[in-house]
Amino acid sequence: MKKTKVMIVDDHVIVQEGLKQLLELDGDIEVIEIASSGFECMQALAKKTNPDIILMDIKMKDISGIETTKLISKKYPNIRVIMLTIYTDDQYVTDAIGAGAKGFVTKDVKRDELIKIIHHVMRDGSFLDPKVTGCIVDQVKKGTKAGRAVNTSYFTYRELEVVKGLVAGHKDDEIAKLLHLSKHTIRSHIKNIFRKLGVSSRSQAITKVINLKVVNLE
Amino acid sequence: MSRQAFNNFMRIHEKDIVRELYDRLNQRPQSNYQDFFLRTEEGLQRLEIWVHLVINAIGSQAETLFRDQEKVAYTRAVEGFSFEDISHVYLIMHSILNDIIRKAGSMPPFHLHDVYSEMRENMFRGHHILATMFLKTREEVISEKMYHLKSLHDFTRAMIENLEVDEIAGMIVEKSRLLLKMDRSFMVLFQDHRVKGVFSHPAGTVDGEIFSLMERSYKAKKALFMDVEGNIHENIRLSRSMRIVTVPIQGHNRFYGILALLTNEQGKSLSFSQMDLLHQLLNVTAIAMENSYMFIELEERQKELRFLTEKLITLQEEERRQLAADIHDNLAQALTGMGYKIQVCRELINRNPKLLAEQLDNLTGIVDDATRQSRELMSSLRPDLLDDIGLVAALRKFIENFSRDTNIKIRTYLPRHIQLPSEIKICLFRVVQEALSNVYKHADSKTAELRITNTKGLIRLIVSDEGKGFRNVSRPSGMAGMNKMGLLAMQERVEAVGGNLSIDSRPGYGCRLRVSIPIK
Repeated sequence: MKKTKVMIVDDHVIVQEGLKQLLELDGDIEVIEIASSGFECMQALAKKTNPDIILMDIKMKDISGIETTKLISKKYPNIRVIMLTIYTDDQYVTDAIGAGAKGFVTKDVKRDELIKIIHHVMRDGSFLDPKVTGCIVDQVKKGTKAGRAVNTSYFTYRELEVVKGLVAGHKDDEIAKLLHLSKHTIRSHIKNIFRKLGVSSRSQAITKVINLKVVNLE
Repeated sequence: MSRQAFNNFMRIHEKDIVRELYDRLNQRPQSNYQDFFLRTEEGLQRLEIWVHLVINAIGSQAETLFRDQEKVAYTRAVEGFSFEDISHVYLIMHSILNDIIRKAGSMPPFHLHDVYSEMRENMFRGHHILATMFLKTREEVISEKMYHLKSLHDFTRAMIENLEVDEIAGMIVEKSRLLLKMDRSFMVLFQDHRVKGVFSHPAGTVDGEIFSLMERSYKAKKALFMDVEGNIHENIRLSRSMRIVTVPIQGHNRFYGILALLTNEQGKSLSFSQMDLLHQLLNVTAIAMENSYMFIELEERQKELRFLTEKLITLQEEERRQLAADIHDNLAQALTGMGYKIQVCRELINRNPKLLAEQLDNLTGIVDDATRQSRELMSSLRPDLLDDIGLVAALRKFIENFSRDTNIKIRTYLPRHIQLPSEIKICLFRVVQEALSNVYKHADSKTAELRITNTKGLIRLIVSDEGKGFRNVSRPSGMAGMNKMGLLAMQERVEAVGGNLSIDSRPGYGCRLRVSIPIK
């Protein structure tokens, strides 16, 4: 049988290591790549790393796992993302599903279960941790309108880099220098970011991306 | 003796008569008005004028005496002398003059009697005119005073209810013009020694002449008067025919503005009572302005207080968020990783015992790390060390760890031991933590210095580095950028224990943070 290729995206070395060892105990799963951030993940995918499954942490340095997932769903629709997090907040669950994640698992998951979930998702299934299904049921009952609007707009990889620069308080030309792009290009990215967020100023944009947890503050 | 001879006699002895009158008046018990005659330059002149006019009244010029008495009555009534006093002094002068003449003429011949009685009659008519005029004037003065008092009352009431500086200025400009029956009025309103606004009633522009008088009044902080010839006086009595008056409006320690009043009426002057009213109006205006500024300041204070409260809440939330993030980043992740490792170990029991031993060793290392992290987290939450081993030892321990983790070398100049209240110990410890964390995150410096001194009841702390620095601001609240929050939190802490925090930095010249806290 062909091995399932898994990529781990998590910014903690201990978690990366433990998870890799745990998954590779079984002969049919191979961890082909480990990334420590959303940006690293996208860079690896761009270099033809081709996992079947990505285990994605939510809260990481720079851009969040949810934002990275949105990007993956758009660019690499064949890759299945499973969120692996210690958070069980309703908003994270709905955001993750909205971003295109196929599974939502808490980090205290046991080995057998996790392997089962991976196989299940590989067979085009989806999985929600029983710990968080309650909130989804509640949301369905209330109707989606009652819940907070799910942010469906996604940012491109470049735009996320620009967002990161904005939040760090850099000026247009500084961002341009960091990303080796022209100031003009940065401006047009910022325009698109504003449009997607529905805002009209830098400060509004920064506040909103922080509130939407697109990026994490250090 | 003929009328002519009497007149001649009187003229020759006019000076002696005045002197005699003066001496005899001086022997009488004193009154206010007597004092005026005997003790003032003006009074002595009046005495001479009166004798002169009484003498000249015999024959043709009685009217001059009467008009003069009328004028005297008006002036004295306005000046506020008592009628009894004035009347009494004049009656005394009549009797003294009679006495002098009787004696001088030794025995009055029959024809002298005619002249003599004419003089007496003139004096009595003069006195009658004086009395009538005095009472009439007194009534006018009273009614004017009543009117002024009522106006002042209404004005004060309206002013006290008003808290808008501009409206207060508008009111004084309008009211002063109407109450003093002037043609135009202006006001230049100052705030912090800068012109804040110019007001005019009726609406119009202020010409240069008025402005320059206002400026002089502003510099001298005195009322000034300009007469029709353009001469400037400080005293209204010297400018009988007044054209412009400018008066400063000032409170206890603040200067609010200059009011200018202008008249086009020839020969117009302001009475003492009117000047008095003007000063009263301006006093009320100054009080109203003072109130208004106090109100504005109070509002600003409240706003600042609200802002500070909000900031404090934000800071608390920020601290909690930071704590949650620390727990997530360190402990929770370590525990998660350990959980995975343990599961791996469990699987290895049967599959590969040799690998299991290796994994368990590895796990022990991870557990040790996690234990250390949790201890650090705990001591950053509540540095128990402070109570157990004292501030200096706790700082040394913290710095040892900090230097090991960051590779930043810290030079320390610490006293051997300081006895401090618990809250000040915590404050100093936190400030050192935050300041060094800033050095690590922002300064890009390989060395830093920590200095604490305790002299004469004042604790001083200095944390300095030779890093890249930033644009200097004296207080964190004036700062922008990423480390503002941390600095604000430090400032809050230090101010909460009655201390003072300042930051001194320049791009390329490092940063120096100073704290001083007085110890009771």
